[in-house]
Amino acid sequence: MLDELSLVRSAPDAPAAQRRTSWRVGAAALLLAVTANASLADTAVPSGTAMDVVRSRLGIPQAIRFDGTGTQSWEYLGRRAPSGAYRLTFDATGSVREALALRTPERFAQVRAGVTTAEQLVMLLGEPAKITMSEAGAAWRFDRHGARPVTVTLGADRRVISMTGFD
Amino acid sequence: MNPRIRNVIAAIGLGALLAGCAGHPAGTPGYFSDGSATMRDVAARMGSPSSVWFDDQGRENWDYSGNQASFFGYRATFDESGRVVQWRQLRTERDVAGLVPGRSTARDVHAALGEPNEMFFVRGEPHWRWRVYYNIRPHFLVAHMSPDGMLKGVIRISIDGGARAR
Repeated sequence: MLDELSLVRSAPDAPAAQRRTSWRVGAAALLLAVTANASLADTAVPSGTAMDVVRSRLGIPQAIRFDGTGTQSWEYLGRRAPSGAYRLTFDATGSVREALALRTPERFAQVRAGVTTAEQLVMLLGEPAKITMSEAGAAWRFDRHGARPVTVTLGADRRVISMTGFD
Repeated sequence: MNPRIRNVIAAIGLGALLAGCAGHPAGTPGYFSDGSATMRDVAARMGSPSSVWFDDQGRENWDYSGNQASFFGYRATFDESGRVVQWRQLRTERDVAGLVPGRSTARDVHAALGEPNEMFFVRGEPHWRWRVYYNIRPHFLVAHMSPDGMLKGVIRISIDGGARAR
């Protein structure tokens, strides 16, 4: 891309309109490259990153969770996680202990009809994007980056009845 | 501004606020809490929750915190069959009074007040912020915590200006 920009600059006899177009193409390519790098960077949160750095880089989490021991986790989903849903778990000093990608094929495969509870579903896949009620029960929609959403339906016993949208 | 005009504007604002609170049935104490309401009833009236979480007893909670500019929040707590066992407004005086600096944790703050509208850090220490009405005036409610998640203090800051520790 830099070579392309250099070539455009070094063409003194090119018509002005053509040069402007080339500059626009170059600028668009540069913008795309920066955007792509940001998307990659936002999931690469190394262990030891301080909570305030995470907040500064990624914004407010979509959900804050605590486990039985009081360990705090932040979930980034949907618009706030353009390259995929993930959960950051902090240690007692407020530094990232673990960055976990949610909504991977392996995690969807762990959802079992008649077995997985609503609580386990949240721990596996994170905050649902939307909950609607259907004839069968509560339909929880989980959005995925670059793939169609997965809908998990929970019955009255708060266990999974079915899952659609995941092959 | 002419004091008379200012008083009229304030009166109109107060009236609109009270009408708004009274007009929203979800703000009524005991709403959904007659023992027969279900998850389906809550979803039909309130829509999809902004947050789903499970408390120490494993009970499912649906929080309705609105958007970042929202002053009100509500919570439905369900039993294992999806029946509403509690419906309440969040961030009330009682919620704030129940938080004890030096003893309450970030988890307690989250359970009492719900997801914050905003989160910022001062010298590495987390501050969670909500918008609330206090004495019928708009305020920021800020919970200040240490990096290890211990509550250090709760403060109300009038959006009109001025701060007051709880």
